[in-house]
Amino acid sequence: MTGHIVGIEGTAHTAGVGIVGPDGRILSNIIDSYSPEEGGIHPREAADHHSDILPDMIDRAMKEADLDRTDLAAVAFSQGPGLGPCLRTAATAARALSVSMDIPLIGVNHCVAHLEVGDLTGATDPILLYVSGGNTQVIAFVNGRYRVFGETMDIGIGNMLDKFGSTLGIPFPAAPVLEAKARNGGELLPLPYSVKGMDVAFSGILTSAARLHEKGASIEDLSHSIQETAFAMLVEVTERALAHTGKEEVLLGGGVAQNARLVEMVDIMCRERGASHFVPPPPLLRDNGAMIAYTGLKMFNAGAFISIEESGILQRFRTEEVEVTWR
Amino acid sequence: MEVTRGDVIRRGSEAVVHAGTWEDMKVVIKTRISKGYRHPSIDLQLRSERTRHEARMLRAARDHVWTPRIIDIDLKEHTIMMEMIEGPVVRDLVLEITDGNLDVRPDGGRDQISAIGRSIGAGLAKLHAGGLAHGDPTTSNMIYHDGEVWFIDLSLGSRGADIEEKAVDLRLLREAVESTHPGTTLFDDAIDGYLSTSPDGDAVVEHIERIDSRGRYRRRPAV
Repeated sequence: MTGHIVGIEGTAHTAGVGIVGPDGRILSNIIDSYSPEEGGIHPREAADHHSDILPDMIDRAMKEADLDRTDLAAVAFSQGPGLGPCLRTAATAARALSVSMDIPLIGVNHCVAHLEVGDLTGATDPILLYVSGGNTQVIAFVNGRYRVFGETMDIGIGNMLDKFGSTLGIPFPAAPVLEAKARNGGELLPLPYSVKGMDVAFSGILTSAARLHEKGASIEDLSHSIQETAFAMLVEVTERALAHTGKEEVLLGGGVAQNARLVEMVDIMCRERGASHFVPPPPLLRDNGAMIAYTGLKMFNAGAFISIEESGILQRFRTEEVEVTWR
Repeated sequence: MEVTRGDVIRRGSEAVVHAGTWEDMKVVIKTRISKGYRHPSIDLQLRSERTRHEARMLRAARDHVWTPRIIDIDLKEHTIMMEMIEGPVVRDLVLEITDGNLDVRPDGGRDQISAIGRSIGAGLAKLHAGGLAHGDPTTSNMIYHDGEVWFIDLSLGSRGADIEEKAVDLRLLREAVESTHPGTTLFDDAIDGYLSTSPDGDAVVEHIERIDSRGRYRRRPAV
């Protein structure tokens, strides 16, 4: 059994190791998230967490896939974008495996991996709405390149939710707690709806929500209002990208896409315009190694390898910078 | 006042445009449609705000460039009725002119592209001189009528535009031309038209490079 690809993910607080077969089938997908005792993510601590557990996670992924390291054809890793210390840890693990097994190294753009793994949901040519802690982008493959159609001009949607949660004393990650609170919210409080062209901004919502909270607004109403406002902005930009490109599929990606209200809003928008939408299962939605391996396989088949010298991390790796040779 | 609604002539993500007649006049009626995905109060608020904003932009722009006259605004129905500007959408016209190999076409094709490009650039210069930014200057948002370029959709525009917003307009035009009309002189012609019309055109054009050189700023994907 040869031709398997291992993918190592480590752009933020989640470490992941996934393995795909030469046919693109996912054979294992081990995920382990660092959660701080209190407060947000400290990049250094998250990186320490990753470097402690990545070697063991690789072993577990091999075992679960019932493979030996000699079955690996290449090692793919998340080269960026992300938090420097976390990226370095993943890159170090990938280089070590590449050197020890004498197999090629593949540097994967993390955002692009969220789009590519959409294949496994049945999507063929989607617009990706990618919503996570640090990233909020609307991405598609058009005219031979990955392109960003809209994105946040300030903070990621997940960061906004987590930051709002932390002002209320809700531990990281706060987004799922706020989602539960929102279900009991009734009143829609006015928050800044900030869409400029195809781009969005969230820091205004954060500031206004904090002010309303000081004035006594309930957490339930605030959570409800934040979701209704911020998600409407995201869905609007996604719909514009559909109209602009003529594409007919929406793919969700990123941890925030586990929010049932966001999924519902995307579903309604798609139904109203006759488009279809695809939601990967949570292990492929959140940061994970399988999507890195899966994208790595496509790149492997096109011979898109990098040398150790070229394998430096790219903290600000832009989606548009990816030189595409595999599509 | 008799208004008749006819065929849908344009369908965007937030509005539909119907052809129609008002009295004996040919009109278009742009309606901002309700979106089931968003909260009803957000939906209502956005549709009213944007209808009002677009009407204000069209009226303000009319002092500077060719743009359709507004006949009626209905803030309850979220509609703007305006005179119909007849003629091809600039995008379609340019595609038709450049269809096939420009070199084997009579010289007229090149000159026509040049004239359209200069007219686009001159129009943007006049808008900018009036303190307005267009916000979405793609060739789909322009109509060629009576030898002039008309700006038909200013809904993403803004007033009180600074040099940054003006330069962004030109960048957006460049990207729209690169993706929809690659290999044409349309953008260079537009810059010629812009520079010969705008008093501070040089500064705005230079500012484009400054934006380009910022790493953070992405190349916006017009398709």
